[in-house]
Amino acid sequence: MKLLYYPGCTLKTKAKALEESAIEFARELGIELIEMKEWNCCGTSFNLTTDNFMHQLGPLRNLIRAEKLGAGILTTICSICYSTLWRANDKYKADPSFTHRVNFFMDEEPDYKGTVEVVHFLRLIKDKVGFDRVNELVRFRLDGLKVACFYGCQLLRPRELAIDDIEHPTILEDFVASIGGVPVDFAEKIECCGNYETIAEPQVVANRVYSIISSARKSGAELILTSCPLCHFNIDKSQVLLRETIAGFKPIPIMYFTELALYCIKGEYAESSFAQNLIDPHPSLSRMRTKE
Amino acid sequence: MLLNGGGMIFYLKERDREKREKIKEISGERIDRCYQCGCCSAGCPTASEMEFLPNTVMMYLQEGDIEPVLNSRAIWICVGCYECASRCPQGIDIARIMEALRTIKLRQNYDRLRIEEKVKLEDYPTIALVATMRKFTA
Repeated sequence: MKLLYYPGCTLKTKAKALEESAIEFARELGIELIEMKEWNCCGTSFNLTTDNFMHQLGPLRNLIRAEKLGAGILTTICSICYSTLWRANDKYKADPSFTHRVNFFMDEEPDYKGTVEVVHFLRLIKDKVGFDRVNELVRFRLDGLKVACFYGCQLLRPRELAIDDIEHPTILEDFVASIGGVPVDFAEKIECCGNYETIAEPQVVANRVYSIISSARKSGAELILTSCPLCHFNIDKSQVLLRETIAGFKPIPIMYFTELALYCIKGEYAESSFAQNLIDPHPSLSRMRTKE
Repeated sequence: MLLNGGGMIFYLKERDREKREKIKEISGERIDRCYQCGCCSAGCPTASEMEFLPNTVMMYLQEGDIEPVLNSRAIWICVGCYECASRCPQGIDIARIMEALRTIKLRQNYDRLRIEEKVKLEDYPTIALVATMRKFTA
C-alpha cells in the first residue's frame, strides 16, 4: 500500500528519529510512505480567530498539492501538523463563502475540491492494517514493561478531530498491548504538556511535566510513549531541568510509539535515534526478551 | 443595565462596550452564555499559573471590565489545548476567547517577547519557534 505523507518541519530537524522510525515501521507493515513534493509549513498552531483567512492558506496549499497528486488520504505523523491540516480542511469544507474566497485568492493553484482526508499515522495503522498484524510482526517481547501512553492535546481536541475517545482514549494503549507491553492508565495522559510555552515560559512547561511524570510514576510507568514531537521535546528536556532542581526527582524516559514498535520488531534500533534523547531509554528497554 | 443570564443576575458596568463587542466579533463566541460553573478552570492544566482563572476571565468580560484581563498574564499562558472548550456545558469555545484577547493586544503592535533575545533558535523544535512567533509577536 502506497500512501502520501506530509512530514512537516520538525520531523526534518529535531524529530528525525520520529520520521525515520515511522517510515521504517510502515515498511514493516507493508505501507510505503511517500513524502509529498513541495510541501510547506502547516501553520503549526491553528489560528482561532474568525478573521483568520490568511492563516489558512498555508495548510490549504498543502492539501491542494496533495489533491493534485491524486491522494485521497494525506498521512501525518506529527500531532501538530495533523491538527492544523485537519482543521483547515474542515473549515474549508464546512464554509462555502470561505471556500470561494480561498480559491479566488489562490488563483495560481487549481481550485481545491476537498477530496483529501487528513489522517494520523496511528489511526491509519489501526484502521488499515490492524494492531493484530503489528502483534504478528513482533519478535521481541517487552516482558511486562509498564508503559504510560501520553496523548497530549493535539490528537484529541477539539472533539471533531479526535483520533479516539476524547476523555478516555485507548488507541495508544491498544498499540502497546499489541507489541507486548503493559499499558498503565494515568490521570494526566490527555493533558497538555505546555506546548509552545517552552520558549516563553519554560517554568510553566516544567511544572506541567512534573505533574505528568508524578502521575505516570504513581501508575508504575517505566517508559512514556508519545506521537508528538513537541510533547517529546518538552517532557525530555524539562526532566533534565527537574532532575537538577528537585531533590529525589526520578525521570522517566520518553519514546515515540514508532521507535518502540521497531524495537520490538527488530530487537534493536539505530543508536542514532536515541542520540536525540536526553533521558536514556535503554535501562527501561534492557528487560527485552526474545519471544518464545 | 440588568440582565438575567442563565439564572444569574449581572449588573453590566458597560465600561468598555466597544472592546467587548470586538472580542465577540473576533472570537465568534457568546460571552453571555457562561453561567460560571467553573468546568473550564477545573479542566485547564495551566490554571495554577494564571492570576485570572478562565471562568474569572469570562466573568470580567461579562461585566464589561476588559482592561484587567487584556493586560493579564493568563491570556498568554493559555496555549489553546481545548480542555476548557471540550468541557464547557454551554458550548463556549473559551480558547477562542483567549485567542481574541491576545489578538487585540497583537493588533496594537504588542510583542509578548523577542524570541531571538530569549533563546538560541537552534536549541528548539521548529514547531515551537513558529508557534511562538505566530502567537506572541505582532
